Amino acid sequence: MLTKLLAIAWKDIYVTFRDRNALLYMFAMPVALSAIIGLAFGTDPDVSIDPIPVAVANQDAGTALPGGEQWNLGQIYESVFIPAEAADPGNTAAQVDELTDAERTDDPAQARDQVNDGDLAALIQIPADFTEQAFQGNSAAVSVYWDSGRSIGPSVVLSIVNSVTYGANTVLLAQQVGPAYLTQLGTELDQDQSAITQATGRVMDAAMSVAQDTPIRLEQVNLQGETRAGDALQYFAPSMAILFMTFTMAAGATTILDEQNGWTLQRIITTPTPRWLFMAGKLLGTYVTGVVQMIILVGLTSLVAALMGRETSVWGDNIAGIALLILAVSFAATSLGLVIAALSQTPSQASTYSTVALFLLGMLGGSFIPIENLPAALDWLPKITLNYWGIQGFFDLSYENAALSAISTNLVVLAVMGVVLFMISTWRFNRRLEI
Amino acid sequence: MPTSAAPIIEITNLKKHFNPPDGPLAVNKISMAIMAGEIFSLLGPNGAGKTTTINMMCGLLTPTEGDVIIAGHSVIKEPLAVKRALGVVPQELAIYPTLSARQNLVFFGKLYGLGGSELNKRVDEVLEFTGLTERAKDPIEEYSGGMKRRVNIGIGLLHRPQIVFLDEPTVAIDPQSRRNILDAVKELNAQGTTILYTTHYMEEAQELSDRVGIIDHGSIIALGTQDELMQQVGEQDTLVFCVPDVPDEFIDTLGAIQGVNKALHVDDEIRLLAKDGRTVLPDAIRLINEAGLSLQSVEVHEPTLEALFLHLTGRALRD
Repeated sequence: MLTKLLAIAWKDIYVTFRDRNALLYMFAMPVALSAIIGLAFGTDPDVSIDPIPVAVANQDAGTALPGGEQWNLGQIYESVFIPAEAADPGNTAAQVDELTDAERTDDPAQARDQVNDGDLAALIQIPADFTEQAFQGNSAAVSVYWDSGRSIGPSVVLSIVNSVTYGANTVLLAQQVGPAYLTQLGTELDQDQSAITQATGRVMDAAMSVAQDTPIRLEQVNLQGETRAGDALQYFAPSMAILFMTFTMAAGATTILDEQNGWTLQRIITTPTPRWLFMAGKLLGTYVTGVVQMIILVGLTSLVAALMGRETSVWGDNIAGIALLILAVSFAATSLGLVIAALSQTPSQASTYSTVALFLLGMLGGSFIPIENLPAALDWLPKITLNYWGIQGFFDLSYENAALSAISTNLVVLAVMGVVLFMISTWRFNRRLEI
Repeated sequence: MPTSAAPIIEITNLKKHFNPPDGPLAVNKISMAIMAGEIFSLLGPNGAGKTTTINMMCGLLTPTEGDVIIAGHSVIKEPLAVKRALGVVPQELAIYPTLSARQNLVFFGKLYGLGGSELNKRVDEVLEFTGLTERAKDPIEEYSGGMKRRVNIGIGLLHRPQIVFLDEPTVAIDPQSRRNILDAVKELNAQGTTILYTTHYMEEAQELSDRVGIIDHGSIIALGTQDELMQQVGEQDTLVFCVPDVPDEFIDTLGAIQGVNKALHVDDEIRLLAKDGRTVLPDAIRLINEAGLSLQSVEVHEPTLEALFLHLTGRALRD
């Protein structure tokens, strides 16, 4: 069985890689297009991304500390996104201000609508009792509403908010544990109450000065670090690779119809080879072709990027992530190709269907233009495409330096797409393999 | 090749009805047996049901009714066992044009379960049998039509099958290649292989076959050795007149000649079936001349399968 499976798969791989026209289409075109787009939009690592539109609704009324000092933790969040006019250009708030286009709002409901409409990337809302609850040791939450249709903006905002929250929690911990510990210690040492109160007051002041003076750093965001540079090639290399790979997969699956037309399929069925084995061999051959194409395209586009002066990898350094995404996106594309072939009656019909379907899916999935600015009502549309999940995954790996866990959703969605589409194609082919 | 009394293929009530109830009834309850070691020809015009019958026998089509037992295995219940015993040579050139003859043979050899040194040995033998050893590494797309036919046949012989189905293997090839193929079929049969040969060329069936089944509109209308079949048609001659532009009504005039049993118009030919062709010939020529038609040639054929088909159906095999 294995020999037959490999024979069918190897025959297809051999035929594909000996076809000069196919090779031109598989490799030269996506690399050329990526390079042209890269040149057109530039590959300068210092190129900045557009400021991220953010609204901050700070409703925090604040609270008075035992020493009488008035505190408002919500202002920490607000000041990070909306710095004072005279902010030091080197401080955190100034850095964030370069990345974001933040505005203060008193109408969070309206701001949420703006997020829904795609006008804002995110809304940060701090409730009225935020500081009071936090200082009482109760749960206090900052709400971030974001536009999931955007690929970059919300993740940057979330990272900043996370960093601020982490810093605030540290201060609160010091504020809550320190005085309590000092009070207990003073009681045990028979210190008088006024001395204990003074000591706890000093600890709280120190904690507050940490909150005031220590800038909340952006190590987790690091948007201006060298490895975080975003450019057109970084986006279009994977998007073009995926687009052309889907065409290769469709063409590969369509060879089933070519074999039916040329009677080699019928001849194979007259040998002692089960039909499912034939289908599995075709799937394997097409899949391996897609994986090899993606690997070569990763290499070629990296080479082109280096020749264009880029010093860092277009695809990022997470080799395991890149490999897994290649496997997942190729699987989904192979299954999609099989569905197109299964729904077609002739090779020319399959060619027409695949051209229309794959360009449409490519367009929706962001292969031609980033889809961040789609209207909110159409937010879901890109997500039905394998292009979207593949491109976003690769982009996260290269742009965000994402860990494997960060692209797990992409991997799972692509795998599920592959399985479902493969089942549909098998069901269709079983109905028509009586020739 | 001496044939055995034991049937190696038994067809029972085989029927294929495409898209019933309104679709075509391609094969209508055929029953017959093919003996081990014989060359059996299935003769019939295009669309008679020959290829549909073969496709059901080799597992490409599921019969609507009936079954075929091949080498002791049911086509329906044990299709893979049947396929191991069969070599199938389809009418179409079922080969990969961008691969060489050797690559095609190796690929299909693996699908027949061959491997290692045995596969290489069989590929070499088949290349030699088909006379393609010298061109084995060239892509098929550079071959002539006859050479492609030979590769097409060679693939069906790779695993030394007990039975070989050859479905119209000489369609659209030159006379020399046709001669080579017919000789190869005889040689294959001499080596002990049972051959099921479908054709609409009466001469091929006559030259090759131990027995012939004549099929028309999905039914076997005659079956037996050539002698047995000739007895059915009787001692009738076929007169073939080559006459362009014959009006259809003139055929009835010729059919009325005393001694003519049947008259037929096929393309530029008039065919008359007659007990004694030489007696009828002068009257027929006279009538053709009187009608002002241009008689280009005349042939008188002894009783043939063509005459039998004409006798049974009133139509020529080429219709």
